[in-house]
Amino acid sequence: MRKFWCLFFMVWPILAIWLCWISPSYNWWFPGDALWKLGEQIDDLFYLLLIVVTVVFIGTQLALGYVLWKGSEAKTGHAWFSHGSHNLEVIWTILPAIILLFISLYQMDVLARIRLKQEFPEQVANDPVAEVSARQFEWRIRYPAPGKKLRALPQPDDLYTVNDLHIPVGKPVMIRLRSEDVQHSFGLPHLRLMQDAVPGLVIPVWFQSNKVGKYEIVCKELCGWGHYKMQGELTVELEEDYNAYLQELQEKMNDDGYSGDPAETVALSNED
Amino acid sequence: MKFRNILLSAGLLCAALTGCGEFKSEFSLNEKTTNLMPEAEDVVKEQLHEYFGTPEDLVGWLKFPIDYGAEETVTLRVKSFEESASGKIVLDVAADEQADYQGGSIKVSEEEIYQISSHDPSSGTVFVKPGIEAKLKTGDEVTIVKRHGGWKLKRGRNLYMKHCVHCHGVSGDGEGPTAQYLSPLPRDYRKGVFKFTSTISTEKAARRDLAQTLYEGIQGTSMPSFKLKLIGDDMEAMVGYVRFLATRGEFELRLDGEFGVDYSKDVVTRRIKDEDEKITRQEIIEEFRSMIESDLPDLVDSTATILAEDWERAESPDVMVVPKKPRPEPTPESIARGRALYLSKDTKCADCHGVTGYGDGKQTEEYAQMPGTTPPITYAKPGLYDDWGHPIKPRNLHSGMYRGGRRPIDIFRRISAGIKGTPMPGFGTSLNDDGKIWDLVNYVMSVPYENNSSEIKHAEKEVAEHTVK
Ligand code: HEC
Ligand code: HEC
Ligand SMILES: [Cu+2]
Repeated sequence: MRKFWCLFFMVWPILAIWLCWISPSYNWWFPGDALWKLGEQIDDLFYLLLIVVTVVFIGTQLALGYVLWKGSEAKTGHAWFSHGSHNLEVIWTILPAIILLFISLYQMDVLARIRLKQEFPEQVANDPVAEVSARQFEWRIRYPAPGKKLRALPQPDDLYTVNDLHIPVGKPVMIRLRSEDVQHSFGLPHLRLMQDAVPGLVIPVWFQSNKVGKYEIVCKELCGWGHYKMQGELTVELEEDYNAYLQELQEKMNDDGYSGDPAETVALSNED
Repeated sequence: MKFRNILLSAGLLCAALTGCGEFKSEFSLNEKTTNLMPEAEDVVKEQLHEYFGTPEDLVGWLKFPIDYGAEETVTLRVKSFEESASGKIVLDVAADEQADYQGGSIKVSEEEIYQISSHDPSSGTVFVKPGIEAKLKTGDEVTIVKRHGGWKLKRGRNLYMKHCVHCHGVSGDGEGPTAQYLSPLPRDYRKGVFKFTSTISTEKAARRDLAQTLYEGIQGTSMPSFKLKLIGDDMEAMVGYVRFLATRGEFELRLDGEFGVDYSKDVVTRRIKDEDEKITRQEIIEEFRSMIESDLPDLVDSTATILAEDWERAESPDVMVVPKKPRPEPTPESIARGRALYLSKDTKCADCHGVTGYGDGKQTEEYAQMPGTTPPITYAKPGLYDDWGHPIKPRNLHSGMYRGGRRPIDIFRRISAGIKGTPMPGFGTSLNDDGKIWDLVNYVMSVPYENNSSEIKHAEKEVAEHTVK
């Protein structure tokens, strides 16, 4: 029985490593490759943390196993009480402190590039493509009319949709993120991006996708009973498709139902 | 102590393994039905059961213009068949472009029908369970039932149970478990009345209207957009199921209306007490029974016919609100004309929406009369009420939120046909001039931007301050 506990504690690090190892092949890992440079850097940060904790975890588990094993063989003798050991206290205060300090300094650059407005790429810093308003439980989106800039106050010619954000591929874009009620969080798992939406604040968020496709927008802050269904879709498309989309949306927004033929007026909106 | 713990964990384990017991969803009865005398209530219940079934066992009444989904079959040749009872059959699927047989069944002859348990579309292999007893040879013809009759209604039901039931309730009564937290309340379909339609004020909602509501959601309410969830067939199936629930509810209400005149609980007690009529409860029951025996089939049939015609008519282009003129540019002149109309005696918009459009007109402070009450009874609290008896506020036109859609045509339709089931009337007939309605539309659409040019500070803070200076 004594040996069992040693083995028991040794099994966990092995199991953990095995699980991490097989995860990618079962699609339990990231939702695909990060779609932009900063996303990759965020992944790198994640891997760095993973390595640090793996080393610490395996180390502690091995030490625990070793101590138990030794103890199980000892027939007599007293335990060694480490409580109050000055040296030990100093070591396990300073070591983690160094690690944490290292991590916080190391990630500073990536964090700044995502969050600080003066680090935003120049072409997007003052030019949002859309305003995304989080609301229980949906994402309401407002675009400027094609060829115009998005203004802080809604304009008569703005274009509106819900849960459906389109951006051009391969270039940075910036959105204005707001909340109409409670705190939400705008999450783009494929881009490794997330930013809280806070009532009363308009938060600029920039990102870029280098691959066309449809990706998920999820709410990452528990915001009420319908949180789980607060999903949207990010469509990344070629510049010309993007422009065509906005053009089409504009036509829909201006639809006055007048065409002579009633059959044709049947909700443009129902065709995707 | 220890024993109790063991017992407790054993109990928990059992509960986890078996789930929370059998759950059966049921259509509930309208209050009007339960107010009938028990014999009449039973008749309504039986009719509903016969013609609409239960949520688990739906009945598609072919009288109604609802697409329940017809049976779809395909005849294929057997490529190979294993003699053993393994139930594995390889079919030649080259003839069928959409070889998706999941959930279907295979018909070897009229009597021998086997459920398909799994299937591999690429090789055409299907498995049936239990094994197949019939002798099959390569080259034999078998019929695959890809979709059973009524599949659309069932698909609609499944989707409804997944996406809508927690708000709109199993019977579409708007009393799902989340409804109590919502304002406005989810729609009770059972009146067959829908607010946002493209049809004239006297007609029902068309399929396209329900589809638009599902696609866009209802902005400013908790009714979400399902454009990412209901794709292809699913949208149609969903709309069909909403219509199914609405027809069911309306059918029930109409029967209640017929029987309620003489056989509601209140009326029966009154009749028994009535000195002149000299009738006992037993006699009333007899009277009801004989009425049912002679009239019920006709009553049911005519009720269903009326409903079917109503729904069918809504699809017709003749009752669709289509402007006869294009929208004029929202020039200051057009907006001023709209504003004048808005304040005029002809429309009385301001009585509800307020002179400045904040939704605070004088009617919001007056006592409204309950519909169908003689002598008139007013609601206990002042303000407007909708047909479901819930308080309702005229829209604050400054909010820039339009529940029925924000395209000019949407707002045109709201003003022309009104918002059904609410006090907001339609002006298509009374104004009788699409130019005037367009002026109103232009005015309404300009209201949210009235303050844009003035120096009113935006309440929100731009987070440029995030930057370290
Ligand atoms: C979170 C709650 C919620 C869910 C989930 C929900 N609805 Fe609704 N629905 C509402 C509310 C609230 C309204 C009423 C809005 C109003 O009165 O303006 C409504 C209204 C409607 C209407 C009436 C539109 C009209 O013109 O009158 C239909 C039809 C409808 N919902 C269908 C559905 C269907 C189908 C689903 C599932 C796919 C669904 N709803 C899911 C809350 C919900
Ligand atoms: C008897 C009161 C009443 C009158 C008169 C009235 N309305 Fe309304 N109106 C309402 C109510 C109540 C609502 C809200 C309905 C709802 O919440 O579904 C409404 C909603 C609206 C909406 C919002 C539609 C949407 O899609 O959200 C508009 C626009 C509107 N009214 C314009 C007008 C105009 C223009 C007039 C005059 C031509 C007018 N109303 C006259 C009561 C009224
Ligand atoms: Cu949220």
